[in-house]
Amino acid sequence: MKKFLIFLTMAAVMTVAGARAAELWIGAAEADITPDRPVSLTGQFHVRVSSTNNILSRCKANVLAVESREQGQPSDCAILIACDVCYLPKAIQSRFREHVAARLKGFDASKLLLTATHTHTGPALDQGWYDDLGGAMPPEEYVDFFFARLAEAAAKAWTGRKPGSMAWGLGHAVTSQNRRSVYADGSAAMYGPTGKPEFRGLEGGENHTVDFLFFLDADRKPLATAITVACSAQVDEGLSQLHADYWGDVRDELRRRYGEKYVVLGFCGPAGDLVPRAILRKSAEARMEQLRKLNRRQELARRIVRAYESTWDVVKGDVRTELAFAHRVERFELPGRKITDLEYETAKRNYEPLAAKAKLVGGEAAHKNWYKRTIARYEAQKTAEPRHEVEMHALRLGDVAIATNPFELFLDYGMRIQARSPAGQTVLIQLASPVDDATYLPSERATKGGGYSAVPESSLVGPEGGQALVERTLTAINALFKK
Amino acid sequence: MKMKSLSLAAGAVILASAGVASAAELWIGAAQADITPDRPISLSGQFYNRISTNVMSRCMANVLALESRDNGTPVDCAILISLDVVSLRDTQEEFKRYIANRLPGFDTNKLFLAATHTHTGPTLAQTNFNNYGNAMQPREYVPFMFERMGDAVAKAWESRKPGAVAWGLGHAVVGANRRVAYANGTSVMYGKTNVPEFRGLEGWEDHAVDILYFFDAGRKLVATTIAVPCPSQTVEHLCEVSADYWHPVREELCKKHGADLVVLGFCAPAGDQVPRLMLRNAAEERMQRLRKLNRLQELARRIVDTFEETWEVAQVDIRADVPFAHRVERFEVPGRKLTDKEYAEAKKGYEEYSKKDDKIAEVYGRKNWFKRTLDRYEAQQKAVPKGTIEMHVLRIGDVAIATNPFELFVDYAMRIQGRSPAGQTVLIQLASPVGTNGYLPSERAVAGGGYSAVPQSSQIGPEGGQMLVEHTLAAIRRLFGK
Repeated sequence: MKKFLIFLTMAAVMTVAGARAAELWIGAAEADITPDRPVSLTGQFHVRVSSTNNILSRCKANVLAVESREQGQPSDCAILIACDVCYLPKAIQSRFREHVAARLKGFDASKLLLTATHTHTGPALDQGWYDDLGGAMPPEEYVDFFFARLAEAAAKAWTGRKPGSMAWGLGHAVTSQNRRSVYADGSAAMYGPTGKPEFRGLEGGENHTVDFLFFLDADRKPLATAITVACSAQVDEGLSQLHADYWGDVRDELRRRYGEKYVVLGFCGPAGDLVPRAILRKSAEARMEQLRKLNRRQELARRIVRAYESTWDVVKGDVRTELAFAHRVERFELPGRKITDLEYETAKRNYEPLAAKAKLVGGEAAHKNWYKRTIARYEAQKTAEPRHEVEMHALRLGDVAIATNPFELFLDYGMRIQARSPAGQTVLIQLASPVDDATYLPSERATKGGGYSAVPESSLVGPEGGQALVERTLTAINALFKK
Repeated sequence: MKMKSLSLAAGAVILASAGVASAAELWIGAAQADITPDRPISLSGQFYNRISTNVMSRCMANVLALESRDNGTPVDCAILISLDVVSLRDTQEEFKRYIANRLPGFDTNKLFLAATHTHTGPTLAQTNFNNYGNAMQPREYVPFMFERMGDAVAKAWESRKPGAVAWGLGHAVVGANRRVAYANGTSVMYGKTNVPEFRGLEGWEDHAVDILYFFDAGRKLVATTIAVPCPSQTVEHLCEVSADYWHPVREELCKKHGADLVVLGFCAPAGDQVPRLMLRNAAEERMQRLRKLNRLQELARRIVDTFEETWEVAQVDIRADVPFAHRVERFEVPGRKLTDKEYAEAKKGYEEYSKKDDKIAEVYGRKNWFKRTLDRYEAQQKAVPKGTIEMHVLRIGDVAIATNPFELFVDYAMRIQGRSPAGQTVLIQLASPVGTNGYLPSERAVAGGGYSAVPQSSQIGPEGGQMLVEHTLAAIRRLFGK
């Protein structure tokens, strides 16, 4: 592992030197990752199994391959894949890299990264999360299917790459609200009621900017787009139907306008504390949706498409064929979140009654594992400081920086990076490129307020690690933009 | 005294009561007044005095008169006035006295003024600065403004006719939270974000835009109210008269919907919001450059876009008969008590500015700022501080409108929005003042400190803020029978 880490860092240093204007080669493809059998859906503590004859929208993986060439010679590259799944469990990305390596001859697999849109109605990839999936396709079996489809699309995008061009811009769409309610006693609760006298406000901010990258072929025909929305795709999170959530609607509409082959990569910006459901002004929002004859998911898609058009309309006058391109991949460790005695006691108190039960129902099995892992972490931290390994991709495309993180990252960290980034536009992508369990990364204020998404059970890394992530991200971006 | 007899046990004085509203015919009148003086004038919004050198855009007063009639008999009414000024202290009370004779039969309690918070509008208080040079004096300007505004109010009221209303909720990213929080727990308004100690923007941002559309009997759009949770202070430092982003909004909407359209721009709670960029400056500026728009025009573009988008939808639900009621209350809330430490800091600030030449407007302004704080500390030794609030709460169909006189932090707006029984709740800040008000910071802002949260900036603190929330909700519930 040590050797591999050094290799990644070395590779990164080498690519930084190549961040000069270069010809851009682009390839794109899409894979349908919807299984033809019932499958377990991930996103809730309880088990949900989809039926094959009731698919609300098809789950996809959208692939973008980018290569820079200087005087005809490849200088750097990247393959970005956005998957309609809730999250990517530990080892999925590394297993996929191995799986795909043979099909992508000459491609450095460390330059490939997977991201999740965080749909809560996508196929489960994690075999260990639920205890009984009935007759559904087991996740391990689904993963084989997923890898096969994904590899085909990655190969198609990579081998199909050709000289192209790119434009970028910043739009706005109000898609999310902060989901953590704060109360007079200082406590916070995710989805806590706002209609009671103790409600004191939503804990943090919101981010309604939408980052757009537009990729065109040599004839300036739209080939692919990467859209980063600071809002997870979980409008219909409780359904038992396979479903790409609002990305399905966004893709359908953009394809209707730009052609059936248009590849749309939906990325999730830092949004650990954000959600697409209405938290405030619910009745006014619902009335507008009724008048528009749209459901919430379609309404959010409408806003994103509107921002897309408004942005494209402006930036289409600034399309570049030659631009600085570099891709830096780093692995590093962050300090893990230490569990206090009180937090341990609480986890233990919650675990014991579940452990004593002969039969677990609903979300109890998942909850039991949740507490058990916390207890195990407490035991482990007695002998070694908790650490958490992170892989981060930082790319430069012209004046744009892209930086990934594997967490459900609270917005506060996104703000810190945005404020200090030297790039003309900084695109942050969460739930990307995981090498370890990827969980919430709550801010200082969230950790104080507590509640789901901020308690230790929800997060392996806390504010100390969060700030270290901010600094590492900025260091990488600074290196790419060093003059 | 009539007022006293209407006092509630809770301490509220009902200047105009209204119970649950029932559907009634809506009569509507609207007019606009140009309140731009034809001479150089002092502009309010900064500690230092700026005398206008030219007019970038004209400052206006936009007036909407509403009356409900049941079987031809007037039931309730309201006159709403949106003014392109930074704030209103005693102006509303003075204007009520001025207008009383011109509107016989109209209960002036049912009129309220609201400031758009442009920082490039005329100064209204003579005491604001110490030397206006050859510019028009505020005491000269106010009668000029009253005359113009009085004409518009009379025109709107007298021309009211049966009409209809529609409403909707749009979104436009206009304001950003301007309070920057740091690792040591402090906050600074407009503090640097590009330092390692930066930990995030302190509070929430509100990007909802509440829009009401008013029509004549022929369904022609005659007026609109647009509440944006962001003060119009994009060009806040200029020495030019400007209505800020409301000017291009009005201009564009009149172009699309008719030159006579009256556009009332209201500022929703936005004590901690600002139209300037706080994050992603480079990317936002590039987009503005590519659009060939400045910030002010860009924000207007976003507001107009949401107006149109909301209008497309809301026009299918136009109502001629709607429940209408207008409740006006005055009540006291606890004032913010100064701690000994805050007093010591204010004293230090006062002493520092006392050594400087107070012929300099900024010195004069800052010195008085600290002096008022010292006076408050002295006063609180004898009596518990209190502040008086006038609040207007209207029901128009499923919409509740509630005013407050502060630069109200969005935390309080969230609390009202979170608990309001109305289908849509429109909150308007910097409205219906009965004295000096200032910022009303939230608990987290007071903990973080900094301008807008320190006692010098705020006469009412979180205790009074929560009471404002409860009063507002009680009044809305009463109008909605919930």
